[in-house]
Amino acid sequence: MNSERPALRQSSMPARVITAVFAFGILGGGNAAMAGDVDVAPPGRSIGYAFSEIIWGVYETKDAKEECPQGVVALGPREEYKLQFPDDGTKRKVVDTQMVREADVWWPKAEPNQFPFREAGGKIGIGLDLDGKVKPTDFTSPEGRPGIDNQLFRAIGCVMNYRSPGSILNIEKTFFKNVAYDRLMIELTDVDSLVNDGDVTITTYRGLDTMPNDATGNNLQPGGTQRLDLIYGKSLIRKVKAKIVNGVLISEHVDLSLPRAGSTTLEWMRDARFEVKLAPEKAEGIIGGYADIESIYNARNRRWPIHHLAYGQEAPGSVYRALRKLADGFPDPKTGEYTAISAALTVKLVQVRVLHHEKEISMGNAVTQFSDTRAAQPAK
Amino acid sequence: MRYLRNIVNVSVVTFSIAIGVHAYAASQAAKEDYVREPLPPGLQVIATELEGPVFANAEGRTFYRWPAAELRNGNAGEVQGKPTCGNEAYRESAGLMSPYPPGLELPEAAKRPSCAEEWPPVLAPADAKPIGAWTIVDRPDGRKQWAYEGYSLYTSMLDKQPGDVLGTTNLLHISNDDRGFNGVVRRVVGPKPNVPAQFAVYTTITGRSVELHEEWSVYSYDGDARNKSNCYNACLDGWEPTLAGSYASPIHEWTTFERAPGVWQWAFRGRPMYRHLTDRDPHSQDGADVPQWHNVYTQMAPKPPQSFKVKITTIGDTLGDEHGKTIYEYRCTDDALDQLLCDYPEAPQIYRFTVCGGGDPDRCAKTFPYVIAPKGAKTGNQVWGTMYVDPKTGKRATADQPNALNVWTFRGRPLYTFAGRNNYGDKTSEDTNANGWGEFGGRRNGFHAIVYRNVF
Repeated sequence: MNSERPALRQSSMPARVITAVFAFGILGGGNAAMAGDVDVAPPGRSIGYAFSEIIWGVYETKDAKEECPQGVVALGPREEYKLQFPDDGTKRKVVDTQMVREADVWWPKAEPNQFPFREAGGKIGIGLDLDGKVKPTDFTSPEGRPGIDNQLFRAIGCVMNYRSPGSILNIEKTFFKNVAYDRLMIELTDVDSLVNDGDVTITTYRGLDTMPNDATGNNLQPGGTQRLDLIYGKSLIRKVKAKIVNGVLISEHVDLSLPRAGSTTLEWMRDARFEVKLAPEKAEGIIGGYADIESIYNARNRRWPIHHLAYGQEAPGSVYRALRKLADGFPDPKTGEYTAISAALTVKLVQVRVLHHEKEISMGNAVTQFSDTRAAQPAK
Repeated sequence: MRYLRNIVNVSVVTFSIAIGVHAYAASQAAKEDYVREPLPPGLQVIATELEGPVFANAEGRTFYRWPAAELRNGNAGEVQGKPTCGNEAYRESAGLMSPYPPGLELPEAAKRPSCAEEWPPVLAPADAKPIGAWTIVDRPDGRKQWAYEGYSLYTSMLDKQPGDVLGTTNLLHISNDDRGFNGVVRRVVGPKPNVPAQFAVYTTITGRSVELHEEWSVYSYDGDARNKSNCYNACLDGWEPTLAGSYASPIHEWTTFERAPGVWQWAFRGRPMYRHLTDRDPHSQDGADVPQWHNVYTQMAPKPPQSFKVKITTIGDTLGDEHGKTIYEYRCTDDALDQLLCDYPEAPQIYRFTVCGGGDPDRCAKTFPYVIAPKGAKTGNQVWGTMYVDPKTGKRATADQPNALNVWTFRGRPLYTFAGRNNYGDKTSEDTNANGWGEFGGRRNGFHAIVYRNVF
């Protein structure tokens, strides 16, 4: 926070005490103080968080009847193949069957789908109001906020792979916790209060280190350190201004490239904005924005093995056509076709200590030189 | 240069300063030593540039085996003592690759070779006698075939000259994928590397990497003297000497020295060996980021063409062409019981055309263009090369054929770049989006960036 900005700290708690409360939370000494309960200022006016989960926001009810009144999608790659090439004794060729299906994976057409596809419906959806309007196609958030823009949910909300029991969803959750490719982080700087601060900066980085986990292996733990991947992860670094209001981090718009270890590629989210509830040990919330259709299709449907897609009735061509049909953002300047679709990511984060400088690293010379020695040396 | 890469946002460096650089091998010409063992008459060990020492027949044709592995809907390959790669030319798919059913006519079925035509068996004379790990197995057609450690041996129809290893590869970045994703692939067969028991040697694109058996990389330090360590005190915060038992005996290029009273350490070609304590993954090159420290190789792999570059991407260091475009290789195995290759120009090209163009060769040529080589370009090695191809058919062409392209090759297969969009909205030059472009993540039929350093 710069000196001209009015101080927004609401608490009269001395900074020393605030820091102590923060440290108590970090060390897990009992119930961590939640932002909103106690005003806390992080040491050094900065705090880092690593994402422990990033998944597409899909509103789910127990029996799916509310959001998928026709039922979940029943036709995946296997089922569509059987419809397209019935087992009627016809002698068929790989070129005329499998290759045709695979061509529709790598080069799908946006034309109307020949197979029935079930879009999500209902009134409730997860996400943010991206355009400041309340439209007939918008959802209302589970908390009652109108104008929620999330047409991606309409496209994939009834595909099992994106829902809680989904095979790929759960594999991606595991990858996200354990694979460094996905070690996306945010660091908040210029932070005087985790409850109310009108001017903070969010910087995204990729970390290099394994995250501490609990004994189940399912829950990343706060308090670990992370070196910054300033070489291979340099292109993932973004900066965006934000404010903290009643413990919720609310950012301005920023384009994000999100690494996905399951496919070892990136998903591009345009005009993304954070709305994340902060606490000293963790954070949780939503990143809303416009998902670039080609990038999310590429990351998911071109890269995941077709058998995994088949397990969750996710037929790539049909998903692509739904994405194209429901796209609502960033029209192509030449064709006018929308290239992106409104979407929401539900995110969970845990606090990490971000190591910026070699001096902060005490693991020996092996790592102290890391950030500036990635490059090659002359051959021997 | 390393500072440039950080400070000035230089993301591409040329091979003269980049490739093989984290390496220590005595010289580019150093060759891997191996454990001598008795060989059947007429067979030999030959040195190869990429795979190290391999077994070969009298004509120098490399030997391969085909260990059984699981696919989604069943197994393929061979178990010890039972050759199955026979004379039958399969015409139909086996349905091993879910979710597609069996019984579909394979592409160019009438011309499809038999397994034994693509992988000629290493036949043993009628009076052959087993020796050491070499045994004789009966083929289904009644002929005798050599086996090594129980696995039947084959050559490859793709190998044309001694030292060729074009049939398949043990490259880590490919063989590590061998969980049925690639299909059931063949393996290069060679003698054991002559290294102490706690070490192993792996084929990587930079060279034959010396590692611990647990697959942790080992390193050497320029600050050491011959058979003498200078890594003590604070240095040991980052490095663990690779210790030898006091009873350990020198093995050819491997020696031991006493780094402290009663504490012995291994040295390779006089260079003390260490493990990097903060390596995050097996086969790592992280330790070589530290000045004066190097990964260790028994032999270096041939360098790519001079015009190629190393690119920094979010997946690691990838190979790039002279324009900085990421370079891709194409992989393919078909869905028949004998799992024949479809990744080389003489194989049916419809697999590749489907992936890169939805079946349209013209779209393929635009989306995944070949990496064009200058006329008359030579590499001087058997790993990187050139060939003429007909872009319309994808088949090998002659130099005088109209529209033929002279293209760079890796292991006898054309190389490609990707002309599609990136996932940054054209804001950066990273174009690895096509990595994994194809079925089974591109492993069974698809494109993969050539990764020089996989950091994840």
